[in-house]
Amino acid sequence: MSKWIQFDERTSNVTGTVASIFLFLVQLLLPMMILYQRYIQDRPAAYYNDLAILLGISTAGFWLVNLYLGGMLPVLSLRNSVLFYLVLVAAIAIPYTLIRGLPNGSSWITWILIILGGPGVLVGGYSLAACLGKRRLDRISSPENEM
Amino acid sequence: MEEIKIANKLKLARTAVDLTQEELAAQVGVTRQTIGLIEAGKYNPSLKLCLLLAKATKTSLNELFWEEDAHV
Repeated sequence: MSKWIQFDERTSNVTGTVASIFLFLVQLLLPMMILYQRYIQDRPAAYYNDLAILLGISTAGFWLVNLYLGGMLPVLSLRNSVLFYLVLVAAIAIPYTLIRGLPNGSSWITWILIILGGPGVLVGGYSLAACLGKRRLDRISSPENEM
Repeated sequence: MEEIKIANKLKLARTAVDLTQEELAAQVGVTRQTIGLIEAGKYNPSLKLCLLLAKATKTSLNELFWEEDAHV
């Protein structure tokens, strides 16, 4: 144990809890800042693109690695994955279409990418991480590993 | 999940082997504050740390830690 930074199992637990709370706050405040800049201040995307990238890396990284290492969320069946996907598509499509209207011309491609591709990446990433995480834990805890 | 209250006699066991909190902490690789909190019943150590503490105080796990209501 270092003399200056005293780190043991208790301080690790405290650090983990505090880090989770503040990461949650950051992941809550960042999208609020992005939405504020986008819709209240009406700023162009260049102003908040960096924040959006940071938010994406932070959120996806945290949840994917957490799911993989923790195996804490259920592995979705194919039926539930499809259902989850459809709910997400609706949750994005309805407000997006209400705000921006139906696309015209070449903007259909962007519309399809955002509304169909976004939830696909989310559900796919979730399923992959949950499935690989569970498999990893099952492999570690399988009777074959007992001495 | 059922709440289990864990009691311990770490302070007695530590003084019996003539160790200070600091010395015991150094032996098992934690901070002095962690030892203090365990003795005060404010922190539940991991099984690994419990075993290290039992070893350092030359006692057994059963003697050192027990479920508060279950102890006779």
